[in-house]
This record gives sequence, C-alpha cells and structure tokens, in this order.
Amino acid sequence: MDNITIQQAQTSREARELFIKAHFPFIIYTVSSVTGRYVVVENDESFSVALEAFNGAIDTYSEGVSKFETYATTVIKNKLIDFYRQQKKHYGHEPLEETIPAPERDDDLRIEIADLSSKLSKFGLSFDDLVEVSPTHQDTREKAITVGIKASKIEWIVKRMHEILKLPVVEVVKAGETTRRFVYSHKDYILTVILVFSEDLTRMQQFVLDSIKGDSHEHQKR
Amino acid sequence: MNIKNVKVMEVKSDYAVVLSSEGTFIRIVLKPGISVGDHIYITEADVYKAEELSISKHTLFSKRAFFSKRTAFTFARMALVSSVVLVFMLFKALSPVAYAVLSVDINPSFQMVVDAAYNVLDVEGKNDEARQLLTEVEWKKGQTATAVLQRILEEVSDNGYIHDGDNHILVAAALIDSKKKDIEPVNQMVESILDQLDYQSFTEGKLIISAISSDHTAIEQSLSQVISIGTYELEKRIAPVEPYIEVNHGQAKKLMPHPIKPNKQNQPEEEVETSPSTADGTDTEETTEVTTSKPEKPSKAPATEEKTNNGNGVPHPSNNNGNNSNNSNNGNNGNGGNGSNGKPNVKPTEPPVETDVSTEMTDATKTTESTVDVSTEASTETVTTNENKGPSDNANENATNKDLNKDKVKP
Repeated sequence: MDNITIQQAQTSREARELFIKAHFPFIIYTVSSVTGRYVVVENDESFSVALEAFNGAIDTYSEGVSKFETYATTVIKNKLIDFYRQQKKHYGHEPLEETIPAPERDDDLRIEIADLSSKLSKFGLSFDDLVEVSPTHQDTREKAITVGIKASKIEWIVKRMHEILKLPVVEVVKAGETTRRFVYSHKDYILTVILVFSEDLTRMQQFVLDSIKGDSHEHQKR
Repeated sequence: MNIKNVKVMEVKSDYAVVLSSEGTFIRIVLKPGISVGDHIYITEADVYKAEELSISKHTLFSKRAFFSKRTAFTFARMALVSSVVLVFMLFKALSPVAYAVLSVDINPSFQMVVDAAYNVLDVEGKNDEARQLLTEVEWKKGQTATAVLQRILEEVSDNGYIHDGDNHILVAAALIDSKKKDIEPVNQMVESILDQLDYQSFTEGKLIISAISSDHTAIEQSLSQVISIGTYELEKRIAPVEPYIEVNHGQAKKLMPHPIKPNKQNQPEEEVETSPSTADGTDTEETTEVTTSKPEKPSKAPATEEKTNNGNGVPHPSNNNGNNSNNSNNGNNGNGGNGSNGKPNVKPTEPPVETDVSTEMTDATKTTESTVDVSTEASTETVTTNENKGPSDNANENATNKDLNKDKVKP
C-alpha cells in the first residue's frame, strides 16, 4: 500500500483508494495543524473537506513542481481556509474559532467515563496513574485485559476487591490462570479492566474489546 | 506517521489523558475544543512529552499562561542558574571569615583564629605542651572564643600548668586585616572574651592576665614560626605589659579599664618622648613605651633587661633570648642584639639567662651609672633620650620574664 505512487493513484481508481488510506495520518495531521484542533473520528467536517482536497490534489498534481505532500498540504490548507470563510459568511461576524463546528459528543460515554473515574478514585487511582502502568507491549496488554475480563465474571472476586479496595491478587491469579508475578506487575491495569467489565459501562467495554481484537485502525472505517 | 484513535478520559490543565483503541492510556497536549468523551485522532506529535510533564508537575508555568513551552523552559533554566548563583553568593556571604587572631601564652602557648562575632574558626598549639593539651580539649568550629578559651584554661589547670601561686597569662590579639590600625576593635574583642571567662572553674590561686595588641606582621611571623603572636610581640617589645585582670581565689578584679593600652610601638611617626626618670627606677611605663620609635627593628630588645629580674613586674617572656645579649652590646649597629631581629630563637620554656652586668657596664656610651640602660639597644636614635631611664622598667620587664619562665616549667 505504501508503495503506490502518485502516478498510479492518478491512473487507477483502486490505487487511488489505497493511496488515500495510506495518507490518512498525513491528512489528519494537516487538518489538525491548520485548525489547531484534534480531528474527531466521526462526522468531522474539516476532515471531510481535507479528504476532498487531498483527492483533488491527486488529480491536479504535476510532477517536477514540488513533492506531492508539499503540494497536497497547500491544497488542503487553502480548501480549509475557504471552508472557514464560507462558514464565517454563513454565521455572520462571529470569530473564526466559533465557526468551526464542534463535534457531536457522546454523552453516554462521558457519563461512563465519569463513573469509572469515580470508582477508580476509591481505589486510589486516576486515569493519569494508568498512563504509567499501561502495558507497553500489545501481547501483554491483551493478556492483562483477558485476565481482567475473566476475573470480572467471578462475583466474589469483584466483591472482595471492593472490600479490600485493591486487587485480590491470589484470587485473580487463579481466575485468570496466570502467574502471580504477571498479575502483581499489572495489578492496577487489571483492576481497571475488572471495574469496566463488572459495571454497566457498555461503551467502555466495547472500546476495550475492540482493542484486543486488534482493531487499531478504525480510521479505515471512514 | 502513525495515528491512533483515542477516547478522551480526562482533561487536565496542561494535558489530557486518553485511552487509545489499543488499550493504552496516553497523555496528549491540549488543543481547543477537547472534552471528555471525545473520540479523536492523535498523531505522535500530539503525545505529551515527559519533560513538559515534569515542568507542569512542578507548576512552574501553566500552558495557559502567557508563556509558550519554549519560553517556559528558557525561564526555568534561567531561574535555575540564578538560584544556584544566588545560593553560592549567599553561602559565600554568610560563611565565617577570619577576623582576628588571638593568642594565649600561659605557657603552654595557644593561638586561635576567630571571626567577627568572636567565634572560633581554628585553634592551634604553638608548642608541644599546647598541642598535647589540645588533643584533650573538645571544641567545635563556631563556638565562642570565650567557651573555647575557658575549656583550654580548664585543661591547662587540670594538667598543672596553673598552680596555686602567681600565674601569668598573656593574651595577644591582632586583626587580620592589615589596613585596620585602630586598637579599639582589638580592645573590645579581648575585653569581651576575658570578661566572660569563669575564672573560678580553673584557678584557686592568683592569676594575672595581661593583654597586648599585635598586628598583621606578627600574624605572618607566627605563621612562619612556631611562636604565638603574643610571644612575637614580647620579643620585640621593650615596654612592660600592664596587667589587665588579677584573679584571686577565682575573683577577678580589673586593674585597667581596658585590656590593652595604646601601644606606641606601632606608631613609627611618634615623636620620641623623654620623660624624667630617676635613677632609683621610678620611670613611668609610658616613657618606656615611646622609646621604641622604630618598631621595624624589634630585635633590639635589650638583653640587659634580663639581668634585673626583681620579680615585681608584669609578664615579659621575650627575653628568653637574652643569652645572646653579650654579643649584642657592641655599639650602635643596633641589630646585633639578641641575634633575632624579630625572630625569637629561644623557646619559651627555656629558663631566663642572667646577663653579665660587667658586659653591659662597658657600654660607656649609654650608661652613666651602673644601672642598665634599656634604651641603648632598643634604638640608636633613642639613646640620648633614655640615658636616665631608671631600672624600674627593666625590673618590671624582667620580672615578667621571670614569672613566665617560671611558669614554663611544667610542674
């Protein structure tokens, strides 16, 4: 996919799709740089405009002038500026920043996140703490999530965890059929997974389940 | 360039925590419009750096402040360097600086360096006895000179150097700053230190303490030689040292309002005074003091003084080198006396040497009577002015020699 050249993308429809997918990160980065905001995964108009501009840049690019990425960046930037000008004209004299449509927010997810944050705090944890304890390797992460999901299915382990306000390592080792060393090394991460799957946090559960399915390229859905 | 789709879990003042689709929690930089629950794309450039975190955790600067990250780092570095320099300067300013040197000759002979607050920076023994005693004296840098001196005197007393009879102690002090010639600060220091001593703790006998001022030259000499500044001063001094405090059975009595009388030896421009003196030795001390109009020739201390140790004077141990004096009375060259020229070559512990009177008597240019002329060897310029100098001064000085030399013998 990475080997598809601009010339191939200009001539073949399939090659163009692959070429665009390969340049998703580039497009997102360019949009974020121009708008100063993060690109929202769903329904981000800026991203749509940029994607359209990128597609147009493939058609209008002629070799020898500059690199394609440089050319595409200029095209995307100009298209986004035009888009914001139109938005400004449409919304009158409001500031440019205000004209950028705010992404739709998932209130259910926000409630779940607030609930999880509250429960974590009872165990003396925060999302900020979890940054440090998140397993680095994909395999380790998946194994920890699997152990946590298994333990969350056993009611008395969850009850015991809320009683002692920490992970019952011995019980989790038995339930997860793993080693004490592994559980102890990732106890905070496993505890968080148990909390997510023992509570009614369906959106969070789905997001975590997606991660162990190796679905790390959701942008491809677009 | 990799991208991740993440869900925003928490938004802090400086960064946000997100959960990636891979199951990791990541800190990302804040951008406008970010909110908890947002499902966004992030790139590697959006990951919050560790060094940025360290700054924000120390709350040096907030991202929402006027400063950019780069500026914040620059200011942080400047602040760090400034604080280091400030601490260094403060340390240097507050660190004790040697202010004066104080010597105590009992004998044993001690010398201490004090700061401007009269706290001890260093103590050393100037002879073997003192060095041996100092091993038993517990003192710490920063203690007051009074406390350390008290402890030294107690140790000296315990070891029998202060006995039940008359004990003479000579205290000498000199400012390290050679530019300061005023005697007042030295007087204040000695008075402050001596007045606070608890004499009852180390003596039941009679203690006669005399004080003398010294100067930067003496400090240099004492550093290069194994003598205290007090010993050095007495080596070159002609005038007797008046006792400042007399202690009887632990009760101190001041004999003078201030420890140190202005020493005219240190004033080279001083006019030579001739005061009437009688042959029967009633010269005043002031007369004796001004005879030394050339302090740069301290070695001219008359050896002939030593012969009249009548024991009624104040300490003057400098004449330990009087055994060289027979060769020193050789006319007006003035520098043959004692053979020391300010460098005393006699240990304080040596007994006084009686000078041959007949040798001095041959010095016809200086003596009109059979009495000893003190000023003869002191300075050729002052010869004529001191012809009538009575023996009483000599007697006083020699008494000092006797007394101190007597003390030098360890019981």
